[in-house]
Amino acid sequence: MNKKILMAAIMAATPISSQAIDYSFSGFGSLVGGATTDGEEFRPHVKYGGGKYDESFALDVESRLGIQGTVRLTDDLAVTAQVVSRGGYNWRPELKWAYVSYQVNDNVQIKAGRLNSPFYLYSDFQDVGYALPWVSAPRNAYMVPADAIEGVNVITSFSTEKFEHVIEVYAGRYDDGQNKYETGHLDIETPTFGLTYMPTYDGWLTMRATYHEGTDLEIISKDLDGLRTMLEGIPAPAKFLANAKFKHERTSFSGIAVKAELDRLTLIAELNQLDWHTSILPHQKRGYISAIYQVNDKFAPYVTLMKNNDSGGDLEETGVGALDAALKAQFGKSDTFGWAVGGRYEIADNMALKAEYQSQSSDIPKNEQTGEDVADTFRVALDIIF
Amino acid sequence: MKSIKNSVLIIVLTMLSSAAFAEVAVIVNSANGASISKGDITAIFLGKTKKFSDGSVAVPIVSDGAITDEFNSKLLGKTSSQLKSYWSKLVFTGKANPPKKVSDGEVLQLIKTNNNMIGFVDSAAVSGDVKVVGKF
Repeated sequence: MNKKILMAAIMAATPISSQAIDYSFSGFGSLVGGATTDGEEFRPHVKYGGGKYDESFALDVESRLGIQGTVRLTDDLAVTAQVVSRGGYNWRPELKWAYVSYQVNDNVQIKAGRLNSPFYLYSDFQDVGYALPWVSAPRNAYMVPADAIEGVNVITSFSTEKFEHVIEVYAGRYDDGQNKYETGHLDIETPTFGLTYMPTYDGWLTMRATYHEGTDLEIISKDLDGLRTMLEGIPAPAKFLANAKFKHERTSFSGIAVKAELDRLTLIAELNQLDWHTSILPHQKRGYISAIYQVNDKFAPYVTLMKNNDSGGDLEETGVGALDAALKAQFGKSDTFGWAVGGRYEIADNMALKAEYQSQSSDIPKNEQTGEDVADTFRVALDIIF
Repeated sequence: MKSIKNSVLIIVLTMLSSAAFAEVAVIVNSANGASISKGDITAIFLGKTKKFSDGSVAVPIVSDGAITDEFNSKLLGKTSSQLKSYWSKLVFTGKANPPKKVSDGEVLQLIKTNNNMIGFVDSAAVSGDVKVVGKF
């Protein structure tokens, strides 16, 4: 449906092609290199198959290049597309955004097409390293493995006395297939909706509350299919099997955030929660707090503390020891704590150099950990916009 | 010889002081009748509004000259890299585009011939055929 809207808009633009068409191009890029210092592996992508850091220095895990083009059809109507190419996905170009936007008035903007779900404070420009104070947004709290939707999004902004308010509402469908990538095996599909309210007080204090729901979610994954076949073969308890079907799931994401810009000091905190209703997948409650200090026009060091409280999903003992241990490791309860120190240095008006060291520890013994998130990692990044 | 040295000194000091204390004049077309406050200027140049107070379309233009840093710090309260970062957030979320950049010498000419444009120049460069809405 949205492709039709896009085509209609492009066709509508054709008759006026004799006039000068107002278009613009912008781009961003990040060259990120890193390695783990403790022999563990660190996966910076929330999505599967994006590569991971290990002991040898790698430049292709997080490096990316994005190009965005906008064609203004009228003062109020525009078509925008953004293509991102990532080292973690063999530099294969991915159409991240393709939407028609209509500015109803100064207060209301409507977008339709391929968009992203604004789960987090930094969702909108998570890939634009230059717009972030850190090497990357804290990975632990940016945990939803799907963010591309096809749908409609309405942003309303208005001011009262000392507040600026932004309300964002969207509805659509996730179709964020990762199985199109050779290295990944996960695809998520669901109808979805969400809303976000973000007031800013007096220009310096921003607050944000957000809620999203996937109403009929299906996880398409060979790994999970294999697990289910195994559980059916044992056979596992009926209730457990019902929770391991990975179809018709309801899932919700909620988050709160605060950002305070106090002269040279900026404090940012986010607390996010991902709940899988009726599933063995673990509920994730994760947050961070970060302090960034602008020493001068050029240099801004930061420190970040991160905390995960992942409660186990609805697991039941299957009676098969090895399987139970594997399930517990994959879907069980875990607490993780991490910290990061880093800094940003402005090389030029459109270029920043960053470095970060982060360390994470978990209450799960190292030999029982299955993820690739608990590691000590050093990264450097060169971010540009053009 | 001494007088030459003094002249050089005076010229250098004048250049330094003009760079440090340049006054920014925000200008519009002389036919523009809208009342424009400092807050309106900031909102227009930060992409928060696209219209003047009388409802007509506002087209901000910025120069590539030295006066731009002065304007950015006095009216927008941002350094040039902070401003770049601010715009990158808006551009890459499709919310707004930064003002068109023109060469320093073009600003006056464009404002003179376009009713909707708003720009800024060094107040020493203002000519009589544009309307100054504020000096900062």
